[in-house]
Amino acid sequence: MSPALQVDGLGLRLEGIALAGIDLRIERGECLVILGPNGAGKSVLLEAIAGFRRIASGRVALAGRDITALAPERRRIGFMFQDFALFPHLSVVENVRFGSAAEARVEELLRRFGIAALRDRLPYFLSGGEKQRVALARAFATDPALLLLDEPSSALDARARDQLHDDLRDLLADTGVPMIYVTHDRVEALTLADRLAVMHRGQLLQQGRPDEVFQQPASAFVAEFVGMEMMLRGRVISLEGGLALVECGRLALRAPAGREGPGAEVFACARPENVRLLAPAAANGGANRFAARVEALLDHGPYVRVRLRAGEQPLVAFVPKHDPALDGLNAGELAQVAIAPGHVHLVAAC
Amino acid sequence: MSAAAEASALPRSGPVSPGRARLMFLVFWCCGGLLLVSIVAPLIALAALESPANMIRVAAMQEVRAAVALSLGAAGLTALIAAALGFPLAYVMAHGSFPGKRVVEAVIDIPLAVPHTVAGIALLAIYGRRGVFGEALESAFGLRFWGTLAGIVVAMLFVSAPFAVNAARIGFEAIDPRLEKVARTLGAGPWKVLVRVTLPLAWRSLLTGVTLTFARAISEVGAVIILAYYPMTAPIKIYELFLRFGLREAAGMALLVLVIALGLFIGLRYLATGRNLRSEAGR
Repeated sequence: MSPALQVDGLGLRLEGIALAGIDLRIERGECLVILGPNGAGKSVLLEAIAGFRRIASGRVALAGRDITALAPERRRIGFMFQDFALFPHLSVVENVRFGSAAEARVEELLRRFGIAALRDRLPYFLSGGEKQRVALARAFATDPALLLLDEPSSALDARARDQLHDDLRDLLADTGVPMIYVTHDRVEALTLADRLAVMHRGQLLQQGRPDEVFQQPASAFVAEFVGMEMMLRGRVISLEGGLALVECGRLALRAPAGREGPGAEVFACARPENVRLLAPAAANGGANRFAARVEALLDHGPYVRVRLRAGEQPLVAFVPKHDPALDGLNAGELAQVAIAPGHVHLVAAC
Repeated sequence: MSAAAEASALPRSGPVSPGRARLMFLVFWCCGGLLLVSIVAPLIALAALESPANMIRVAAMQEVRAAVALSLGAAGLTALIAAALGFPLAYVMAHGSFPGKRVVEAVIDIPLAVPHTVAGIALLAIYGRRGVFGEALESAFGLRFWGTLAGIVVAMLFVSAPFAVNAARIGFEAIDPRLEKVARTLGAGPWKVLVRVTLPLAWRSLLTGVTLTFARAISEVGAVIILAYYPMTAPIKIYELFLRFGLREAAGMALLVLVIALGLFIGLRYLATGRNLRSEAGR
């Protein structure tokens, strides 16, 4: 069966941004998150898929049907904008009804999204979370074959954002309508993504399962963007038993061998949650254990973000709040750091 | 007392150290006030000069009524034509860029910069009996512009069309383009989007455009007088009364025209402004 959405070799050029060689494939019931910094071309890509921008090359197919040349109103693609773009002159029920003549369907959606009580309100009087639910109801009133969401959470407070994520996961499960969700927030990407694509300068740098992309970024940019807060530049010294020995300044780290052979310039990367602090009493030595000076401790709620420096090399550790390693630890002191070799990932430095 | 009650008992906060800002505002108000007075005072003086009785007497005169009716009709027709031709242009200009957009913008504003008698002569050159348009339209439709309603309307249109285009353009540009996009994804084609989203959101600006066009058209003398001294529009009739009978006769009709024009203007403006929640959100 053909995928719900298939994009092949999409390319287009605008002033200031060009997309090139975009390939995407989404199955029913899947949420693809496109993660990238501002200006990466994420919104432009969504607009191209929705049909607002003519593409210069490539093709877009929805459930096997080529829609490259179709007008937006014939594509059956729902779109949710950052600020939801509710029609300000129409009430909630009129907004939902805009794309659907079936009154029963409209009523069902009003109930489904818990906005029946707001039916006669104008958007001006709605909270961010309410607007978001109206926008979803409106999009689903047209029975879309695909839903595109362009950073819809950026206008929401934390609670409404969680609500949105719950709504979207429920909708995926209930309706199977696939979604493409654009964001620059990696936590959101992890929360929502069945598949993740990292975009930068108009290109998709890496696609895959979110854990795969997060744990094994394919390039230095992806590594940095998905939150590898430790990125130590070094050189591969030797390979043995599937492990590479990497020399980063005066540190020697072991990591699963990648494609890089001896002599290759690499970044040894680790996620902050995989950088552990050892209690002062712990024995010294062992694989990937070294001393680092604590520069700052920042309380992040469930964990403490510890900024460290090992020689010249900066790194960050997320330490659970009640970890004994934090007892009596102050900025300026030395701490023992351990990173399991399996949690160090090498990417080519270029 | 609860904290909330305590807070509500506080005086309303203003800026820190308001003195200097206040002085600036005072100076600015003085400047602006002079301007406002220079607009309103002559109109009040006109009203004071004339008794309503004289206005009513003048209003009963057949030729005065004909002139007022002609002015209203011609200006109304002008506003309709300006809307029919100018709003589409405004829409095109508000939606995206095209080569020569700057030139089109400048062309639209040209009538504001041309002395209106000059405009009248120019219009005569093309709509006159030997002008390109004049000759073609006369042979095709028997339409003449010298001393006719058609002549009055083309003169009014020339001087007032910029107001229709510019006001409508502001209205169209103020609409978040995402509203029109999202309407497309909801299955509405371009015409349906225009009718269901764009026009309902822009109608106040469009009405403002019509109002300003109408107001500018009804007040036009310079261009009209060259194409059509007869039949007389109200401003020309006032001028004629002034020349023939002096200030008193002229002032009676002037007050009459002022009351009618201002009444229409204020009424339309009232419709076109005012707080509007239906277009404030989503911007």
